[in-house]
Amino acid sequence: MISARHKKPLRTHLTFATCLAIVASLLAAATVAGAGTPCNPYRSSQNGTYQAGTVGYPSAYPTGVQSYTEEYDPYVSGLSGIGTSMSVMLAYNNTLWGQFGWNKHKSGSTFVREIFQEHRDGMGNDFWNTWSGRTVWTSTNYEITYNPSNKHLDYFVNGSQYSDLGTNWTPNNYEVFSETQDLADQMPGNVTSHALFASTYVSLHGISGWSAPSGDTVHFYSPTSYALKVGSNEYDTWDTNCP
Amino acid sequence: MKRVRALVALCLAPLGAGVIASAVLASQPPPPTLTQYDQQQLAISIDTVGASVSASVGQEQAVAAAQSYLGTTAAPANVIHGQAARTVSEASRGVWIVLFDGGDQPPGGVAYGATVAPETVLYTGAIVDDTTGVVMRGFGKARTP
Repeated sequence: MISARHKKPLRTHLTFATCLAIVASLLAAATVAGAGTPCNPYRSSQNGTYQAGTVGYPSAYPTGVQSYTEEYDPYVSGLSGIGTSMSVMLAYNNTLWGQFGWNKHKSGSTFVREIFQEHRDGMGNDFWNTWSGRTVWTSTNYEITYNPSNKHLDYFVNGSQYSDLGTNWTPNNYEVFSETQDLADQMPGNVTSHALFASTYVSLHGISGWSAPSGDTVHFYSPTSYALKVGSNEYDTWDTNCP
Repeated sequence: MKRVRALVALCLAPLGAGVIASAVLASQPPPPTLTQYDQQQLAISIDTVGASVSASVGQEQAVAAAQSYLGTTAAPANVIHGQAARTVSEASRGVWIVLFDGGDQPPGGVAYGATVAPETVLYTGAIVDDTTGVVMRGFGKARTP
């Protein structure tokens, strides 16, 4: 029971609390908007392959790679038809690969984000599938496994198998990369809000279970992008022109 | 004599046109097809010839959905009925497979350090649910030189 004497102070407290809540929510919204808005790096167009992430050549060949990948929403100019991506990959040297992740590109007159899977079978064929993209600013576990008995690559989203394609090769490295195809596009991540590959794990032939990557080498295209290994199994990438 | 020549020319004209038409057809590349191997890799099954198709979504609607999904206004090279799932974890259902000649390069990127010659995109396409008209997934195939 609130007495009449307490009515006014309570109302004042409520008003103050409400104001605090509004200010806090506005600050939160501003933070999210700062991190979430695609950032134009204002660079001239230069077509090419620009990557930020890691490569590992383990002594036993890799049979799997997975990472909780941030569904980032980068600025994409549309000058490259391929667009920008974050993905995990099992590869043989740098000629054959299967990769899985998200991609943002210009399709007709609009920009689309989608899940993509690209697969080189080793016989000169390159197959791909695309699915509607996942919600931005969430994290998705993209996983590829290699089955030595039939040389198939299996592709999973959050543990659910999406596709299963055959190869004639055995992977000898794993990769985790953000990638753009034009310098005018934003490498996923801002200086103050990195794009994350969190909880990254690999599995190796002859060794049961998943383990954090070790002995891998971080690469990035300088000076326009940066990549950093944080702890044992997180990789951050960002565009150096995007605060 | 002039009448005879004109008559001969008149009689040979259709033959000539036929020869020309055949030559034009022979020089055009065949429409893209999904080989058995492609179907296996892409987890698509094309109906056998003569199979009856029961679809509540028509081909025109499927083509429009595919064009919108792929961001193209090009006419499809082939529209085929078959069975496919959105993912291999889901059940197959009746679908329209809308195929386009060529199209955009494969999405994503390349392996680190790769020097890849441009690929020839053989086809791109979309798989459209024949009951709802929704695009379940896109797909494509390219060949390395």
